[in-house]
Amino acid sequence: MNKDTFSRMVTAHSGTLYRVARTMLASEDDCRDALGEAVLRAWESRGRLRDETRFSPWITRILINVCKSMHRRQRRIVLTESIPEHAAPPDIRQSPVFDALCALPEPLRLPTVLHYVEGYSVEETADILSLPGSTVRGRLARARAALRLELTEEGEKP
Amino acid sequence: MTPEDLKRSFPPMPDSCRNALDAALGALPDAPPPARTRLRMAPVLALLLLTLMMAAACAAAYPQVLRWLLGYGESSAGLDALVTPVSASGEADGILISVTSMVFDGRRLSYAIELDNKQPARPAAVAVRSTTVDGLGIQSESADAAYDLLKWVPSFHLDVLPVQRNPAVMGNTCELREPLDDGEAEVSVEFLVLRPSGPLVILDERMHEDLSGYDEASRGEIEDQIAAVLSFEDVTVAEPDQQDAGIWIAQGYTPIDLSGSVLGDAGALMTVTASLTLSFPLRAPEGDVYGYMQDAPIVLEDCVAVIGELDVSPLSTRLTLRLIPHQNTREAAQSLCDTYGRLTLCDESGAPVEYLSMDWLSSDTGSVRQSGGQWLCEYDIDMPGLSSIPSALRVSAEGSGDADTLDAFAEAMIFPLSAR
Repeated sequence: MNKDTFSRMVTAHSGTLYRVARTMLASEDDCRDALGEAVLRAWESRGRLRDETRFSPWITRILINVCKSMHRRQRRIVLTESIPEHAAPPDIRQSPVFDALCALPEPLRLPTVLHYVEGYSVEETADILSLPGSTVRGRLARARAALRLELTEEGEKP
Repeated sequence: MTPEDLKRSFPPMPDSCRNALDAALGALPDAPPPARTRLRMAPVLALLLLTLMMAAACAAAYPQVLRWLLGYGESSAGLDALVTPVSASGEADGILISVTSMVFDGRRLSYAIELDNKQPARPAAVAVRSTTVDGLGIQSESADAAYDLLKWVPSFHLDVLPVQRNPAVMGNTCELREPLDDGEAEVSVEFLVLRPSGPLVILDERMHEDLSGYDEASRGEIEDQIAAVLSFEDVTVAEPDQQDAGIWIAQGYTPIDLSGSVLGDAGALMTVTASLTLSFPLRAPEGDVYGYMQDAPIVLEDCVAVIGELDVSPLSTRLTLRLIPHQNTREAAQSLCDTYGRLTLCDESGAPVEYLSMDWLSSDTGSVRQSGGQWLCEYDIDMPGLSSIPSALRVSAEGSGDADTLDAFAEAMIFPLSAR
């Protein structure tokens, strides 16, 4: 895969990559860093992508691993450095639906975004997350129930 | 709410992220990917055939309980050591039910169940009704075991390697009331076989949809599910204008969708046709199972910390931590929950522990409750097993407390682990 093809495919999937990063990371700065790092890692490991039709789930998995690494690094920093007096405020939430999605615990939120928002099949979602398909289905069902409850309480139609 | 609603709810990609992508693409290094060696075809084919045979053998030998627990995730040497093959099977209403393997860490038991429908044109569903250890009922935790989440066989889903519908594989996870640290016990599992109370009707718009709009993988999955339901005898496919489940139920049908979900009260729409109890021995584990026994409460500036339970194994990580405020009020307990917030379990070096890829989800935040008249903030953490067991477990907090308070908490929450 040459640079032009790689760049074109990354650009075509940029929306998906942003939404997945936004699902896992609360701050815009972290999303920005994660996207850049994921692109670099994907380029370095492009030789392992045998089937270009699998580009989207492949690079999505790389991004998820980058986001998880960032979580781990941030926790270590909290342990070993003094906590600043005034933490950066969280990004402003945009809509009740997005708020409800963000209120889901990550293990439910991520499969929900991958399957319902980005359109990956359950099997593809399971492959990206290294989970059994039955686990993904269970989490999707719990997420639907939680979203329905949250949005009904908020006055939105489920 | 539709998937489009969810997608539209996301904030648009900010320029900073778009610029970061463009910058990364513009700075891609020119180093080529690792070279692939050109091979002659004959040895490649021979190697491929041998690899496929070995993979099939490995897949057949790979314990089903690990496949059920971990999916495509990696196991660990510690978890592998806790796996025990099980040979317990019986037939009920044409379904051969077998418990094939289990993992047990002395407290938590996970086991895999294979279901083989001898008459695949007549679909059945299987549920675990109860699990007992030495006659005492124990709590089942797995969603697979819930009565309203039935495991159909043939399965509607291709979700266990090697990919297959019949036999299908399900699993269950249970928690013993008291740990089994030595000796033996007997596990008994009661299964129910259920059949649709009336003729099956498939209510799903995808039966009539033009699937060309789906991506290849989704389309393949849907086509596969359609093929599965059309292989069942005496099944009706509802027309697009006949998708009201209530009307079908009133006419005596059992409506389901392509995923196998019963579109109504499963208790009324499915009939128990048989039950089967399988028993197998349970032995105290000999693998990596560790715990911590607290000898004295930990006194902090704003509370007293008491460990209710701390057990670590390749199968599960459990911590019950109770923070008792010096002032016995609900507000003081809530303040502790706010101060300490979310807890993270770390190894002896302070690095967050690595969990195996399992399905348990528990809250890592505290909740206020009252016990024996005492208000407290309680953390009840129940997480997957660890890929490697540390010599000590450290707990850090990420709440709203000031740095000194959280540092003092982290310094006090260091627990050496000893083998159970």
